[in-house]
Amino acid sequence: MAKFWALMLFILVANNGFTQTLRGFSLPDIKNLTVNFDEVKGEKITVIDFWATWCKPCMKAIPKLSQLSSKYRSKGVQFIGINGDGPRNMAKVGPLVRALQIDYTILLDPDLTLMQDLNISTFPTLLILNQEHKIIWRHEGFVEGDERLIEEAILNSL
Amino acid sequence: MKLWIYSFLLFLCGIQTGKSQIRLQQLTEAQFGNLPTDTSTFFPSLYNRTQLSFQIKKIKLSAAIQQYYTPYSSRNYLQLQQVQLDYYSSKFSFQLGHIYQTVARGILLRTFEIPGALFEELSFRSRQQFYRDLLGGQFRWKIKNVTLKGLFGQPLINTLPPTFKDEKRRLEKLAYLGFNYPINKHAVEGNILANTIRQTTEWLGAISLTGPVLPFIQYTGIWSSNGKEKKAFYANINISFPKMGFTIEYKDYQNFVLGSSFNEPPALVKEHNYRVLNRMTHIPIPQSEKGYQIEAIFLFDDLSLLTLNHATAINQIGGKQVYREYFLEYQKELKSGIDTKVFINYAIDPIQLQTLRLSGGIYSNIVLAGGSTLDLEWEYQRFDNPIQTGFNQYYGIGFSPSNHFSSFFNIEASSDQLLINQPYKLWIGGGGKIKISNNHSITFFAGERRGGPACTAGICYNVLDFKGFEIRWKSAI
Repeated sequence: MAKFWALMLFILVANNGFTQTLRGFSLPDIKNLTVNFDEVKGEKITVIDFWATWCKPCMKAIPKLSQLSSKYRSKGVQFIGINGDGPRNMAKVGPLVRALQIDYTILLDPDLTLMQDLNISTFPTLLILNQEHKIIWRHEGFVEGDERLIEEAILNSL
Repeated sequence: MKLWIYSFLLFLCGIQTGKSQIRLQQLTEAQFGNLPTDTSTFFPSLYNRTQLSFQIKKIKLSAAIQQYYTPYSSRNYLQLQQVQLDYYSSKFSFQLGHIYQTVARGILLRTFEIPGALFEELSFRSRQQFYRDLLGGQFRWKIKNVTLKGLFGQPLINTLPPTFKDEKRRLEKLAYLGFNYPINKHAVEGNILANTIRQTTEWLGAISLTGPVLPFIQYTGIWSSNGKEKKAFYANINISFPKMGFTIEYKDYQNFVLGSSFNEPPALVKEHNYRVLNRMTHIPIPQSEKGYQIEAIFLFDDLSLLTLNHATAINQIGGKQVYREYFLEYQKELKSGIDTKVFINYAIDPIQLQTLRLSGGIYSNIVLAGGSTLDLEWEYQRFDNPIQTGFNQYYGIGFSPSNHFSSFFNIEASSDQLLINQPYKLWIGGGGKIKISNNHSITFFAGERRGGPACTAGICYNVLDFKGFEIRWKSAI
């Protein structure tokens, strides 16, 4: 038990001022073609949304993110959706993407490797990355009105 | 073990360079309670998992410590897990240690980690993170358009808790090689996997084709064989138009249980979020299962969404057993600030001896003045089996005054005589979530929680009932 409390003490005193940097990633798209982060990142900033078909707030967020993607694409902002569905639901991602008219890149991460790499454990989680791939904004969950917070964060990051 | 842990902590604490990053993720759960059916007194338990990772440029080193304490020493453990050295570049990457990989849509291999899910098996009563990994190494190498992948490793038998030694939890040795090659907007994927257990090696292969053969149509086929003994075929066709999409999937699994079940062929039965449906879902039997699933999605101009699903699964177990399910879900914003979702479901499930299962429910999310939200949830299920006509019910209410705090109260009821020995039983519980910051959150629960089969991310497992008080603290730094 002493080891447990020692570990808790370590967590409490740990500095949370670190800035995370994305190393890059290679993931398949909905046509099963491997895509590298460098091929789809934004000129100025990249917005990454982690979602799954079974996640209710994710489905609520996607139409709003599509609107923001269309609005800011010409200003150097690129959206990327990372889908975390396992093989059971993977086939449904393509039709859903087209039905919802998502116009940004969707990549599949059934092993959640990128989520683990970035310490993410919640759907949806949205990240904003700068040109140096540093995570400059992070947002978990989605409720009505969050799209305004996201837009504000995009504008502040440009 | 202790030396490893302290060395790693020292390593992480000691290294501070401008180019490096240290990340920490932890989950701590304290429970004071027991199984509702257990007549012994409540007891305290403490679970913690802390994962630390260090990254410098393209290299990452990570490890986790998992520990569990109760008054019963046979259930307690301290375990070093998920140790991994990871190198990434766009052309080449490798990982050594505890690794994850899915091969051929899970038909050949499916590892997983379900964030936040803890698993407790009734016979061992020791809580652990719910995951299945491989202890070994893997690489990915991109040469022009061709991607090569390979791995070797020992899969974890995750139903055995960490109180068992690794030799007992990892009995098999897997070796895998695969490629992915694009041809005219199609991707051809080939995979070969060898499984060795007690000096006997079994070879399995899979090949798949994905791509738009015609506009809006995709085809994927995967098959595996080992002589005439084992085979699995899976195909899906997707047809999409603006505002509507269709998925048709077909499966044929024959004698396809691999080793310690380190694979997870796609179920082709919808994974439901609704409690009464998730708990009663069909779990595939890869010894003998054929079937199909059709799903249609329609997006209307007012952004309301209609989902229709039909699944059939045929098993040859003491005769032909045919599972059928029909599902409809409609979600709509009734007016600004009021989101509503309704569902109905009809199923026939001979494996659970149910000649009829009818379910329905309604969920509403209402934004109140000042930005607070109210959630109202109701589900009902009626089932007929040779013993009875029974029911399952769920009522839930949630209130969230801000993004930083939410609370809920729910009641579940059942008259299922295969589970309880009284006319009906109630499970009453409530709790909340406090989001302290983007890095820390606390959730708590008090009352009685219904367990049973649960499916998340395509993986189904059994959750035990719980009665008592529980508090969870999650951090990501």
